[in-house]
Parts: sequence; structure tokens; C-alpha cells
Amino acid sequence: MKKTISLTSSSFLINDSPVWNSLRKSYVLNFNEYRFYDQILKKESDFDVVILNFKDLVNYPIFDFSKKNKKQICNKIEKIFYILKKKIFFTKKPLILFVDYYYSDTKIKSSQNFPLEEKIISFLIKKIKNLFKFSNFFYFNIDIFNKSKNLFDNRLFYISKTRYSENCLRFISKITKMTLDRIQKPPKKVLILDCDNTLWGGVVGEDGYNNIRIGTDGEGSIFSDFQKSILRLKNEGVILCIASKNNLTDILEVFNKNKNMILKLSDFTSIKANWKTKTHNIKELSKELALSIESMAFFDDNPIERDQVKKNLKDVKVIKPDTDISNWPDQILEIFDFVNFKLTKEDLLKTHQYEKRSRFIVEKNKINDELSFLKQIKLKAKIVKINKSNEQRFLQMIHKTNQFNLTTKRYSLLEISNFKKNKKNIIFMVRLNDKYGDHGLVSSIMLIQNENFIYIDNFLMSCRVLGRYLEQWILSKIFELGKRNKIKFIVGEYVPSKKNILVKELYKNYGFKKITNYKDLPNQIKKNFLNNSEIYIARINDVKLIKPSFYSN
Amino acid sequence: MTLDVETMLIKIFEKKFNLKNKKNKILKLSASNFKKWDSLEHLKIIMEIERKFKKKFTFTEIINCNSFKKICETLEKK
Repeated sequence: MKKTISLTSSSFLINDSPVWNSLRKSYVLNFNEYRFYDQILKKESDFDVVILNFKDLVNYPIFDFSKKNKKQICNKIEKIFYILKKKIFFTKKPLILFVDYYYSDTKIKSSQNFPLEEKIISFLIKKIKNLFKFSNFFYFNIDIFNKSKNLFDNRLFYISKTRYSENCLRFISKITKMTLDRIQKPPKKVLILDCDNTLWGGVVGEDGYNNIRIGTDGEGSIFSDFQKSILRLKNEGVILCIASKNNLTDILEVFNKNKNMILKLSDFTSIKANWKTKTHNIKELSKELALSIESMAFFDDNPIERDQVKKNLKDVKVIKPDTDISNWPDQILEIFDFVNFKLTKEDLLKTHQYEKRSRFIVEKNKINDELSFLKQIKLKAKIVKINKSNEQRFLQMIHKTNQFNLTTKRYSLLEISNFKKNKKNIIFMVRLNDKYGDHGLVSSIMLIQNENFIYIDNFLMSCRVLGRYLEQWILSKIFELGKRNKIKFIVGEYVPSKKNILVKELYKNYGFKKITNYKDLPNQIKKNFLNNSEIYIARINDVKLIKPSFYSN
Repeated sequence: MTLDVETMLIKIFEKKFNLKNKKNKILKLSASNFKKWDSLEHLKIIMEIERKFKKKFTFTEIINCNSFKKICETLEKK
């Protein structure tokens, strides 16, 4: 069944115009006018879109510059934002707010000419920023995004109270669809780049590291800016890798010797410079980083390479570079697949975290004795309670983790806080440290407890710490808890998905038994089982599940 | 009036008001003699015409183009 979007605006949105067609294909659209502001609150839908038009807010054109008028306008804004805040807080459903600040159609727009408008805009921005703390709030400034600037159609306004032009409405429709599509699936994590004629102009093998085009002039400055945009993505948590048909020495020479390079070797988590196919190298990167092919995007100037990857690895996002390279610095930043609306501390450290993963795999593969290797790396895990400072990370893991995820139950923040309210339920995360550094919060667990049972409702872990038996450490802690509370059984659930085959045998491997008849289990637990799930049970006293010896705590 | 403009316009009206094969009726159509042609539909027709013909009407033209004939004439002048 299609999900519903409630679109609310002070201005008429031409409901059955073709501008909404692409959005209508995937969602049911309900249009409201907010002449009565509480309409925003009353409408029930899966998603809300609110469009605030500046001219409507101020009753454009402003002719009364008195303090009284300013106060009236600000009160109106205050009231709207109070309603928005209530809606965002109580429903916990995504709300997208579009605002334009376009207060004059004249070309002269200095602040001196429009003092009241400027003050009102500052007030409005302050109100918007207050909503940033909500993870289900998404905001777009129409003025910034709409390059064409033909935001308004005055003819339409005076005929039908439609403030925006068809182009602008089409833009709102497009951004809404992109945002909703994006927030319902995880962002791309890895950007794989070609080198020649992509990161720089020219071919290093032929031109030499000093003659490639990168720098401050002409074409070189475009590649410099393109690198700056890529660096920005990296700083926002995107992992950078190279897949280039080149000699590795030539590539390293560019990074080590060409002083115009913005990107440094340390910005890349892995470099595959060889003569193998890009498909092969992308698969290798996926294994090395323990990230699915689906989390990867590929940028290459060569259409043959792009087609080959597109054909062989259908889940990789193959970016088609704009035919005009001067648009590349903007193009790469505008790719919605990378947009991470709510960045956590872990996102900002991601390149570093995956470098550690890469080093761990390389060193582990060198040593035959796994146990002594794991002892050497000084593993230390710690249970961390959920609080305001880390709840976003918890939510993010619940929504992003696919592979090591036993049930793939994607709870909302509201559902999580309701879960927490029951004092018998247990919810925690796990932090991991070892000689490679602090890996941050890498696992999320939700447990339901009654007199005889602990039921593992959610158990997921970041794949970048795989191979350390952290899952055993976590299960041993759950067993310890069970013993402490004199509980007899631990119940685990595995819900098969396209991506979690990795953990199919997890419970079996740790001594749980699969059961098909679970009518004797309490309702409090049974009601959480999903239709296609496999249920496993372990009697605490029968299963000797101990903490791995190489963990120091 | 060129045939192309008229044919294209008839197609728009046929689709908009569900008047397939009723060319004669469409040619005489105006906001005053056809109930379905209300102010909102009027706006949608004009926008559809603007899209199809890649022409832009002024505010006054939109207001005045209240019949099939007047729309044709306005388009001819553009």
C-alpha cells in the first residue's frame, strides 16, 4: 500500500498539476491549506510536507513598518512553529519544511532597503534552527536550491492564490521524493573514484605527475574544486576509495609529489591501482571494508568502465558525470545518496574507522594463530546505556545495519522510547576498543525480560568490527544477566532478509536450539515474532557460553 | 488560424473536459457556456497550453482567454 504525504501550504499548490506526478507515482498526496494553522496537526499521514511562503507570512507587500506590525508577524510565525514542533515531537513522523525568503521581486535587495523583512527572516531562521534537534525534521531553503530563481508566478497568485511557479512546485515535488526515498533507505557509504581525467585532468602514465591538470588555473582549477567537494564528502563521513587502471607507483607519485593535490593519500581508506577490471576491484573493496556492494557509489569519466560496473554490479550506484566538467564540483555534492541528514560522531570518524578495519584484516591474514593474534590486539568491550547523547547513534544503527542484524526491526525513536519506559526491558549499546583505537559504539541490543525468559528482540552489530568475536562477548553478557536474575531461558529470533545471511547460524553456533512449536512461550514474547522468523532457545544452565578469553573485561 | 494550433488545442480540450470526437462543441466552447470550465479549470487549461506550446500568457491574457476562440487568437498573435 502506498504511504501518504500530507502537503500543507498557505498557498494553493495546484493539486492535480503534472508537477506532482513523480511524487504521486510512489505516494498518496493529500493537500491542505493552513489558513487555520491547526490543520497541520489534525491531518494523519505517514509524512508531512509544510511549505512556508514568506510573502504569505508577512502579508506582502509590507507597508507598515511599525513595531506593532513586526510583533504581529512574529506572533504568527511563533504560532506556526509551535504547531510544527508539536507535530514533530508527538508523531515522530518525518516532516519536511520548505521555506523561501524571497521578499521582493525587485532587483535591489540590500538589507538597508528592507529592514523589517530582514528582521523577520532572522526570527524565522531562529525558529527553524530550534527544530534541527529533531531527527525527523528536514528543512530546505527553496531560494538556495532553486537555481533558476523563477520561484514565483505572480499571474497565478492573482488568479488562484498560487504563489509558486510550476517550476518551483516541480522542484518541491522532486526534492520531497528524493528526501523521502533517501530517508527510507541507508545512504551510500563509499565513493569509489577513478584517477585519470576524474581526480585530475590528463593521464598520469603518459603526462607524468607534474603535467597532469590540477591547480589554480583553467581546467586544473575545476579538478581542484572537484577534489575539494570530495574532501567535503569525506569530512561528512563518506569513505573514499580509488579504483584505477594504472600502475600503483604512478598514482602514489601524484599524491606524494604533486603539490596541487587537495586530496591526500590519508583521505583514502583503500586504493586499488592495477590492471584488473573495476568490477573485480569494487568486489575486493567490498570484502576488505566488510561493506555491501549496495553501499557503494562509483564515479568514473569513462563510459565503458561505468557500463561494465553497471552491468556486473547492479547494486552499485554508478554516477554519470555531467558532460560539462565545470559542473562536477556541484554535481558530486548534490547527489542525494550521500546525504546523511543527521550526522553522528561515528559518521565523522568513519574513514578512520574503516582504515582500522582494513589494517585489522591485513594483519589478521598474515598470522596463522588467530587466538594469539586476538590476544595481542588488547580487545576491550563496554556496555553503554542509552541516553540523549547517543540515542541518535542507536537509531542510526537500527536503521542502517543490514548484514549483522538478526531481526532487521527498524524502530522509530518513539518506539524505542516506549520500549525503554518498560522497566523490565533492557536496551544498551556496546563500545569497543583495541590496539587499532576506539571503534566507538558498534552494537545495539534490545531485550525483553519476564520471570523465566529473556527475549533478544534486536541484536545488531557494525560489520567493521567483525572477526573479533564481539557477538560472543555480548551473548555471554546476556547469559550472565539471565543467571543474575534467575532466568531459565534465552530466546533468540532470526528474521531472514536479503542481506543478513551472515548471521543465519549465529544462535545455532552458540548452542541455541531451533524450535518450531512455541505455543508455550509467553504472549509477551510471542507477540514480537515476525511472520517468517526462526525462533531459537537456550536453557541458561545447559549452554556454556563464556566470554572470549582475549577480552580483558 | 493555423490548423496545427487548432488541432493541438482541440486535443487539450478533448482530454481536459472528456470531449472526445466533439470538435464542433469544442470550437464553440467558452467559460460561460460550459459548467465544467470554472476558474480552477481555466487556470489548468492555460498552464497546460503554456507547457504544450512553450508560450507564456500575461495576466490580462489569462483573464481574457475565456473561450476556445479567444485562446486560439491569442496563441496566433504570439
